[in-house]
Amino acid sequence: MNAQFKKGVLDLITLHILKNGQMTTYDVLVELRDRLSVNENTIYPLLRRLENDSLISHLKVQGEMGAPHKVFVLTERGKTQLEMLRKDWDDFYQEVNDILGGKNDE
Amino acid sequence: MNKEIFIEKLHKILKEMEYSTSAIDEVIDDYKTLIDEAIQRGENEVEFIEKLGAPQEIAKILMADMPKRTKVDNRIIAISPFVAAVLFFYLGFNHQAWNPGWLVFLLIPITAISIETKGFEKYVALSVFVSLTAFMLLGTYLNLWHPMWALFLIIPSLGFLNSKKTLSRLFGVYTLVAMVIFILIVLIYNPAGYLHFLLLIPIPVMGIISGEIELVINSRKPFKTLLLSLASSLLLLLIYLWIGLQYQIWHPTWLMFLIIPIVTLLYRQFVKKEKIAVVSYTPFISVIIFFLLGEYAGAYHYSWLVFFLIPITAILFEKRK
Repeated sequence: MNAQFKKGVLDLITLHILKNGQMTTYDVLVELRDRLSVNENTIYPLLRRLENDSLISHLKVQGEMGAPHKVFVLTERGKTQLEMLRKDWDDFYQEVNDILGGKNDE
Repeated sequence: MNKEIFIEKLHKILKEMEYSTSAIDEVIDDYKTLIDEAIQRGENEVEFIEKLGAPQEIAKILMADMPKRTKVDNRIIAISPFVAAVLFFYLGFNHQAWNPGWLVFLLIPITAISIETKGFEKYVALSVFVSLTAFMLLGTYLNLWHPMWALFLIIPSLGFLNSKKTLSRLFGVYTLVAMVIFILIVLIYNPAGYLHFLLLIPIPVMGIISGEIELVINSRKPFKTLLLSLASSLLLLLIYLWIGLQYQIWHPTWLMFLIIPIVTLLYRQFVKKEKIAVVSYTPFISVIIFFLLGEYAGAYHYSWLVFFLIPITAILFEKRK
């Protein structure tokens, strides 16, 4: 898969995952690792980039074992970006399906 | 590769790439937390780290989002010790102000923090030096050691205010207001009793409630150890206050607080078997010797020489690249 394309998709999925609430880096990593074939080494840099772009922000919370750690949340800008990426994805998916004739036509 | 080796390698590579120190520290902290959490959730340490990728690879991926020091920043940071030394000798030789003239050396960390740290974190980090400077100046020239020691409460108050939690921020406002009221009460009324100290008692409790004082229970920092370190810090504070209030000696008894980082380093080195550079100890030891010689032998004019211990130790004991 094209690296740039995959990057955009990863942004979309990560923002979508974070829509549901606070998550640690590990939570995001597990979620992406289990549901998508991504390299684990890209997850932390990805979160860092999204935070630098103000699409997500972090809070420090007391963890299950007492250790305070970062949890990421979606910012308002992140929510807007998610909507935009989602729309782009839906349009793209639709267009590809139209060209290919849809799964049911095969 | 285990966690210690991975972190050490990553730290070394990021440092070689000349990223800003605060950004490196943040990345290192994040990776430590990530690995700890993975282990706590039952992952195999070595396998998990292997999947995270080689430190070189991570450093390369992070490149685009890591703030680098500019050449100008590097030059300013590099020149700050010389500027501080010139100012120190000027104040010492021309005005006999070796003490508190040594405060100009705080320009070195202040410059580095001002350049490298962004946002509110910068003010939290700088508050340590601002409080110390104000405490030393007001103590030395106006003999206001008491109640000005309370100025150090600026540090936890900004720490609270830096939090994104509303409760912590409220605690921050309380700490700041309590500090101001406490100082004013002592300055205006100088009460004989200890009733006004009640204003300050909630602050450590707030620290624990809000989680800003970390009573961490995990494999790396056992609860007992942290409770012990918190209790010993509070005990030192009580001893300091007792000596101050009982005998009116507020300086240089504050040096006892330097026991905390020294004991922490000793504990990490000899109990936790971590690699601690000898040079880590020398700043604290130098400060203690500097003040003891200065105060009790009246030798501030040459006790500054003890600070040479820091580069000497670094040259003698540190590994060469």
